[in-house]
Order: sequence, then structure tokens, then C-alpha cells
Amino acid sequence: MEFHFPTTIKEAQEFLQKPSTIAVAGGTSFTSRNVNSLVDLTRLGLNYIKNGKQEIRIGATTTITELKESKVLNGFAAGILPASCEVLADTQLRNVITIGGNIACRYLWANLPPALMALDAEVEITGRKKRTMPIEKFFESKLAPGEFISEVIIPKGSNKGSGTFVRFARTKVDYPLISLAVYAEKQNTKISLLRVAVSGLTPPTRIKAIENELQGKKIDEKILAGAAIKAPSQIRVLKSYVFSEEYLREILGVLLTRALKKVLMEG
Amino acid sequence: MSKIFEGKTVGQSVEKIDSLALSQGKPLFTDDFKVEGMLHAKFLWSPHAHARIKNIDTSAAEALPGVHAVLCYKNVPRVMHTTAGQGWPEPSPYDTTMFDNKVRYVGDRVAAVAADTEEIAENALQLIKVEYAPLEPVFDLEHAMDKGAPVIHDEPDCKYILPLVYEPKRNHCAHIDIDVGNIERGLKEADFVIKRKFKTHYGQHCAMEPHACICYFEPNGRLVIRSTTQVPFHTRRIVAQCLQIPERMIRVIKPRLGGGFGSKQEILFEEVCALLALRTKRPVRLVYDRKEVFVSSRTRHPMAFWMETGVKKDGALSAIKMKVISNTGAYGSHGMTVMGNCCAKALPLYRCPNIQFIGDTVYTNLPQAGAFRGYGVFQASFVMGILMDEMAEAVGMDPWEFWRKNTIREGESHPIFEQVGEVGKGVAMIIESCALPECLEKGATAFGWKEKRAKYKKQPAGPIKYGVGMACNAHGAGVPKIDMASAFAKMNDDGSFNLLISAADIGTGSDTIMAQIFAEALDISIEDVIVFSADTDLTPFDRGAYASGTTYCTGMAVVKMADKIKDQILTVAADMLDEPKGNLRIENKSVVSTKNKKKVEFHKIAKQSLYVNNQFQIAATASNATAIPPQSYSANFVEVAVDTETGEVKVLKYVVALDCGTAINPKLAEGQAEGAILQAVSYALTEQYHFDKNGRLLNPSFGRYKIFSTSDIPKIKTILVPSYEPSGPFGAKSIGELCIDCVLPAISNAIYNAIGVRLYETPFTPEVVLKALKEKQAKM
Amino acid sequence: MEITCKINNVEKRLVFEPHEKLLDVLRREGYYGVKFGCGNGDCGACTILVNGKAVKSCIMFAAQAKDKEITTIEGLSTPEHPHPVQKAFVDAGAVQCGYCTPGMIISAKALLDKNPKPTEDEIKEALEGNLCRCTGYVKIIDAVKLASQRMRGGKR
Repeated sequence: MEFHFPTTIKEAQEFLQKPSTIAVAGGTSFTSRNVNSLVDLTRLGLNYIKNGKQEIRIGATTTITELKESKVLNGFAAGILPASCEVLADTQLRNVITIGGNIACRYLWANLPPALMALDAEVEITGRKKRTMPIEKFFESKLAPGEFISEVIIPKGSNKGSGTFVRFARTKVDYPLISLAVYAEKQNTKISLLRVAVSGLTPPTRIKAIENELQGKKIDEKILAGAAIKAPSQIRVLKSYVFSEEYLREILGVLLTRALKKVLMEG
Repeated sequence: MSKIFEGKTVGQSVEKIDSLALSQGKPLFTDDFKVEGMLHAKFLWSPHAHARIKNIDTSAAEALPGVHAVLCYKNVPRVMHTTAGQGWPEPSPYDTTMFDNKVRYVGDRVAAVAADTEEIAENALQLIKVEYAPLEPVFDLEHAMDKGAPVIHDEPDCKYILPLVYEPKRNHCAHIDIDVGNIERGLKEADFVIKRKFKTHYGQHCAMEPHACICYFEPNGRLVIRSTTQVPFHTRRIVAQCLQIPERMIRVIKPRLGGGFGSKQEILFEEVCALLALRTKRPVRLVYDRKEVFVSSRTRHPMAFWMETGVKKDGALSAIKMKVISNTGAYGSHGMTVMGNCCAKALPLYRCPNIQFIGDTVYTNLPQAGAFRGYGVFQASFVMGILMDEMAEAVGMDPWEFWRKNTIREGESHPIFEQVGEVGKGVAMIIESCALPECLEKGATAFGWKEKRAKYKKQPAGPIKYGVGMACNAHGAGVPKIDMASAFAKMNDDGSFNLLISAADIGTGSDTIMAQIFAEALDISIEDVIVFSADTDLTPFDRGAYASGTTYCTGMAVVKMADKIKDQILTVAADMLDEPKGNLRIENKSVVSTKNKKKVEFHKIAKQSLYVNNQFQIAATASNATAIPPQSYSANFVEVAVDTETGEVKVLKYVVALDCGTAINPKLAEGQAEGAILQAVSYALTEQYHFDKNGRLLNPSFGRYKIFSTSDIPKIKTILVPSYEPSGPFGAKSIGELCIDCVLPAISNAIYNAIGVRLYETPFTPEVVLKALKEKQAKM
Repeated sequence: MEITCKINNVEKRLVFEPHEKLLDVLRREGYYGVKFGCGNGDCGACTILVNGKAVKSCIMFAAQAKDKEITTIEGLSTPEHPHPVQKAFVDAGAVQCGYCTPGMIISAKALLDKNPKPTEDEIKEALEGNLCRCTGYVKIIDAVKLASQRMRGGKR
């Protein structure tokens, strides 16, 4: 096995194109030894949070701790992204887990994907060419050899809405069984924008059913409860040996109701 | 109220003597050690819950470069023994041999390899070819003894070496019957009879240090075993037994140990490590990874209880009928004794004239249970703690009043003490120290019991409901008539002493405690005591760290030995001062006369005795065998918040007021309470072994088996309520296990107070709580 | 493969197989204070500082230590002068078996270096990746508060 420490994007690409090669950033998810080489991406200068006019650009090897403590992100879109970082693993892991890794590993328990979905984020992939895609699309696609996530782009648009990030787990640092992000904006008293994203018991998904149902509506408890109850029954729940499927669906309903209430009726 | 001891060193929170070195990360643990030429060993584990090994072919593994030995049933002597670290003759069945041609749980031993590196050893494991003939397994403890159930121990040579009930062909590992008074009459006399079934679950100790062992040789060929053992002498004896070599050829050393809680009160794998060393003639290192600790070390005994308790309308207990089946897993270490303690050590708390106990232990094809803090009293306190709460409610009494009325008092006795000990008959005992009434007072006041009970009669709006619950327990010190410990000390030129003990400090601070006791007895400072512990060549016998016996048993050995030392010191001083010995006493590192101003310091006495006149080494050994198990007591109060929409239970506040006699070191005593409490809180709420349908553990890691970290903890307050136990060192009893017992029932009672639902099965997961809540709402 | 890095302020050349984790390499080099508790990144007994940040060494490739500054528990004190955090752990009674202690102390030091006056919640958050089974964490949290007080020159 070989270990490479590229200092330029081009070098990184070249290494990654070789057979049986994997990119490493935080490296916390590694168990397999059956690769020919590992490529350390943390020395490419991809650790930044750039606050532009139209968007926030986050380098792929920015750590969870850095996201959590970022003034820019805490003041943006109700601080959903730092909120998802606060309840992500523990201090030592937050110091090394990167935004790119948390997406690329495609773990169901990863907190960032639903938070980023609620922010309508895009993922920039660097390979022979650079390409950008909405984060939902990333989870439906694959990386080609030589490609890696280089940046996460969060459109600024309007960002003065309310949001929340909640998770359901057995203990504070446990892998979440449910991660839920909600972001909404109101115009007068009606919902002008609503994004609801969930993962944990299901792969990271935007719950379009709720978004469509509540979009443009004036919210009250009855409408909320109705929307929240339907959604869990429509989601594909993956097997867990910890809790039953019925229970997880029920909890999702409870968390959705509470999150929507918090965001839509109190903020 | 009996007197209270206040000492110069005893009763002070002196610095734990190894804490600075530990905080500096000094290499003090078993695996912080390298020997030239050391090989690394790994086990091959069974993938089947129950199977015969038709054949093993280890030739490819043996041929792998770097492999020095491979062991399996074919090349290892068949010596039936128990792995339980208990005194001889062991009260656990001899149902284990080092390697068998049968496997009895997923994670059971199949083979072991010693190689140049861990990696080579692991590769060698892959090359071992095993032919299994799978057998039907049995997992349910309630059906293990059914007619036609698969027989787990069908070998002809498993047995107890004591006359105990044993029917392995029915998977029946142990049986105990106790009758006190007349249970039928007791139940008839009751105005209320509560009949309930309870279940407790699998749990693991989760000590931070995995089990480890390094075996090497002295120049003269003697075998040295350096291991994470709570029981150095039992280890020496049982390794000698397994290897069929004389005990004098073995030396066992216990270095600093990173937590035990009972998981290391076993001869877990020292005999395999030793045999690999003997076969390869090389030092061998054997260390478990965390998965192996979860699967292939030891666990808590899961149990099922069928209870019937009777109470009269004036609140007096009239009957306790306890039937229990304990699941010891695939092998029976501690199987009988843990089950027996449900009666022997748990029930003497209760003023109840009629008690019946029917206890059975069964084998199942699941991970092997063993000693675990609480040791039966934990499980029994769970069931009794809830039943006391139910009976209080039935007669319309506040639980606090009910506990106070029905728990044993100083000066009283209990027939259980005489009828049953941990092994066979017990010892009659009158309670000489019991501050439980004061614990109840102080604990309730500090917690705000009355106020909170009143406050939570009216719940706030919203999904979160609050409740408070309480429970009390007794936990006896040691195993009477069986425990024995010794201590040796010698005096040095400068008036300091070497104190040699085999008490196993497993993080409990026993080295410090013994130093404090010795320093108090001779009126010296703790700096003058140099403790060396747990080396079977150098330190005198001690049964080891278990059954909450170290302070009480080893402590008294230290006291007795100090008396002998004192006598020798006074003899030399009498000669030096030309004073009758009867006029002399010890004071502040000196000997002074009570009649005049004559005085001579210890260091002068030492030099005199070593060099000058009538020379001899001031030194003494003494032993202490415990005659009775004095009881420590605690009153526990807990406040919980229950989310009625998710079922999540959060423990907000926990107050324990405890009586351990004299707390030799208050900070260390508090530490024991705090650690035990949190250990049980996570067991109550989040710890769970998840097995698949084939008996394989799905979550053998800290990532998936959840214990609490700092962000999960409740507020814990510990109140030490002193009493004085005349038979204990400076009045001390014990504390190691005391504070784990009441957490489960207190939490269950608090949940009931919050949401009106009683939980009789552990763990109280959110799903379980929500389901129970819904069932209750459906009935309404 | 071979890398250079600094360990406790001393330049070191480390030789190891590429797949090896930093914990195993550190222990092989004699840094026994860095403990093996789980090998999975779950317990924190292996916690060290990498460029001042608390990191679990059992899930870090040794290779990733290249050109970094590593601090282990051994680097926190001289024989004559324990670090105030170590002394606070001793004085508060926060050391029972001592196996989690080096990792805890490293995490606590990382916190206090960054935030000299942490709240109780901030202390809990900083240590939530370090498991302990002996103490119930009560006196560990007390120790960090004590260390914080002392390091700011406050009275006991």
C-alpha cells in the first residue's frame, strides 16, 4: 500500500485515477486495508469558508469544528449547518471529520447531508473537469475514477428564515437514528419557502411531500399535524436492530411536528 | 447511634498514591510492557452458537512463516475446570476445558495462534480449517430446561467438586431452595399480595482496559504471568491445574489495572497464554480487542423473576416469595453464586418473617455470564425495589415511610444470614452498624423528596412529565467464612515501612486505603508507607478484589498485622528508654512514655533494631478470615423527565445517602458511588446486547453498545453517613458494589411517578416506555 | 514508509507500514501513555493533540502525522512539574483506574488552551468523546473546573 500527500489538485487527481485508490481526509471511517493507495486530501488548501455575495463556498476539507465555530455560518439561515455540527459525534472526531468526507462516505447517520439539503447546497466535484450538482443528485450518482469532492456551495439567496436541526439517538454522541433539518421563510403569514430533509432511518432525502403540502399556506397546528403525520408513512425505512420500524416512523412524525412547529409557528 | 471514627489519616481524602503517575501516563498497565522475543497470540472464535467440531486442520496455519504454535482440542490436555476466580473448592461447575471439540456460543474458543506479529497471527487464523456439525441452539432462559431442549453440556466429565445440585443434561446449572418462616401463611396473612414477573438483560462491564496477558520466563524457567487479573492467587492455582504443572513454577503479577467490575474476576485466558509460552519457549502476549471483550469475556447474568410479596394493611411485610431463573450463558462460572446472592445478600434488608426462595441457573448458547458489580443483589434489588413501591401504594403509605418501616435496624438479626451464605450455609449475625434510618433522612432532605412528590402531583402542560422514585438496599461485605486476606510489613532505617499486600487495586484505590489504615494504626503519615501489591511471589495471600471485601477483609489483616508491629516497636523502645513496656504508647512516629517525658523516634528504633542491639527485622504478617458479612446500606432518590411522545427517559438528578461504616477515604468512597450509579443508569436506559436469530452479537462496540459520556450524565450527589462497624478496620464496611443496586428500581419507580406506568423489564428504552404508555392509555 | 514529525517538541522519524494507525506506532515508539481502549474511535483513551487539536490516534493513519506537531500525555509534564491539569485531576480525586486519564487530560488541556474559562456545558462537550467507566465523570468535571481556576491564577 502507498500513501500520497499531493499538494496540488492536479497531483491529487493523478493519484486518484490509479486503480484501487481511495481519498482520505479525516480518515475516521477507514477499516479496509484492501487498497493499493491512499491519497491525503488535507494538504491541498481546501480548508476554507468563503463568504461571497451570492454564495458561501466551503472547501471540502474544512472540519466540522471549523464549521461549528464559523461566524459566517452561525449567522446564516438560522445557523442550521453549525447546529448539525454541534450534535455530530464528539470533539475529537469533529476536529478531523471534514464536510467532504461526511458527504462522500454516504453514511446514513451523517448529519451534514440533510442540513445541506435544507440549505439547497451544491457539491463541486473535481476530476478531469469540474462539475457541480445539487447535493440530492450527488446521492443518486457516482464519482468517476480520479474525482473527489472539492467544494460545497451554499447559495445565499434569501437566508433570513427560521430553521432547526434535530436528531434522535440513544446518547449524545451516538450515531443518529434520525437526523432532521428544516428551513423555512415566510412572506406575510404564509410559507414562501420550505425545505425539509431527513436521514438516518432512510438515505438522505428531501421530504417533498411535506414541502409541497405546506408551501404557500398559512400555518396552524392542525395543518402542521396533518402534514407531519402523513410523511413518515411514505418514507422507506431501513432496518435497525435497535428500534422497530413502527417506532422509528412514529418518532419521525413527532420530530417533524415539533420541528415544523418550532420553525413555522414560533420563529 | 454508635460512635463514629475520626482519624488522622483514616477518614481523610488523602491523595490516591498512584494518581499522579497515572495522570502522567506512566507505563504501569499490563500491556505497557515489552519482552525481548515476545510473540503475539490471537484466538479463533466460533461462528456457531452450538456445534460439534468434527475436525480441525491447523497444518496450513502452522506452516505460515512467523507462526510458532497453534493450539486446539487435538493438542491440548483436557482438564475440566472453572474459569471463575473464586476460592477453592470453587462453587462453580468444572464445565470448561481449554479447547474443546464442541462450541457452545458464537464467540466460543476454537483455536489459538502465537506468531511473530499480530498480523501474522490473524492471517494464520484464516488458514485454520474447521469442520463444524451445527447443532440446534437454545437461547431462551425460560425454555432452556424444557424437555427435549438441546443439551449444551453433554460431556460426561463436567461436574461440581462440591455437593451441589447439577443436572447438565437438562441445562440445569444450579439450584437453591431457601425457606424462612412459612410462606403460605405469610401470603394468607397479607391484606395485599402483589404478583409480578420481572426480567433483566445482558450487559457488559465496559472497563476501559481490555483484558491482557503477557507470559514470560524467569532465568530458572519459572513462568511469570503478568495479567489484568482481579484474582492473582486464583489465577495461579487454576493455571497450574490446567497446565498440570506445580503452582510453585508460576508467578502471577497484577500491574495497574484499568477497571474490572468483575469482568476480570476470571481466569479468562491466562492458561492459554501460558501454554503458548511453554510450547514455544518464548514470551507470549495476548490482548483482547474491544469486540472480544463484548463477546468472549464475561457479562451480567440476565434473569427472570416470578415474585409474590405480601403486605398487611398496617404496612408490615408478611411474605416474600422469589422464584428466579438466571441465565449463565454457555458456561457456568459464578452461575450458582450470583443466583444465590439474590436471596443471601439482597433479602436480609427486609423485616419479613416469611421468605421463600427458589433459584435456578440455566445454560444457554449465549455469551458467558460471570461476576459483575452487584452480583445478584443488583437484579434482586431491582425486583424488590419496585415491589416495595407497589406495596407502599397498596397500603396508602409514602414509599419513604414504607422503606423505613420495613428495613432492618441496628441490633436486629435476620434468619437469612444463617440459612444461606454465598456458598451453602451462612453465618448468624446481629447488625452492629446500620445508619439506614439516617440515610433515609439525609437523602430525602438533600433530594427534596417531600417537596418533589407534592410538586409532581400536578404535571406541567406539554409532552414532558416529571417523576421521582426511591429505593434502598443492603450489600454485605465479602463472603463470610470463605474470604481470607493477609498483609505483611517491615520497618526501614528511616522509620518508614514497606507494606506488602495482594489486595488487587483495580482502580478502587485499595493500595491507598491499606496505606491509610496502616498509617492510622501506627500513627505515622501516609508518606511513610510504601505499598507494593499483587505479586504472588512477594505478597502474602489475598483472595482478590471481589464481593466488596477488600476494605473489610484485607483492612482487618492490616490492622492485626500493625498490632504485631506495634508490639515489636514497643519492645525495642522499652529497652532503649529503660521503661516498662506497659508505660509506653505510640504517638506521632515516636514512642512516648505515659508516665514521664521519655520519647524515642521511630527512625532511632529502626536503626537500633537493625544494627545496634538484639538485632532483628521489625516485621510482621497477619491474616484475616472474615466471620460475618456486615451490611452497608444506601437510600437512593432519583428524578426523571419522561418525553411522553418519544418515550425518552432522562435522569435529571440522583441523590444517594450511604452507610459504609467509616469511609476510610471520603473522596474515593464518593468516587465508587458516582461510578456505580452512572454504570447502572446507562444499563437501565441505553445499554443492550442485540443478538441475531443465530445468537451472534450485532453490536460489539462502544459505537453501538451505548454507555454514557459526559454530555449524558445526571446531577449526582453523594452523602456519606458514617456509622461504626466494630468488626471492621476503624469501623469500615464496604462500598464497591453498594451503589449500583438501587438505580434500576429507583428509575422504574420514578417513571411510574411521572407517567403512571410500571416497567418490570429492562432496559427502559424509549420504545418500551412509549409502548407501555400507549397500552395504559388504551386501557383508560 | 517513513515520515518526520514532532512528538512532544522533539523531531522524530517514524517508520511504519502505510496502513498502520498512529496509536500503534506511538505505542511501539514507547509512548505507552497513549492507550488502546477500542481501536475504533469510540472511547477516546488514545487521544493526543495534533497541532493543538484533540484527535483520536487509533483512527488516524500514522502517515497523516507527516509534518505535524504531536503532543502525547508524556509531553505534558516534567518529573518535577506536573501540568496543572494533571495536578487538578489528582487533587480532585478524578483518577480511579487511570486508564481513561491520559486521554481525558489531553482533551481537557485542549479545551483550556482554547477556552480558559469554560462553562460546565463546555467542559462536558469537550470531554464527551472520552469514555470513563469508573468515575461517573463527576470528579473529572470538578478537576477541569479546578484546573481552569488555577490556570487563571484564581484561588481554590
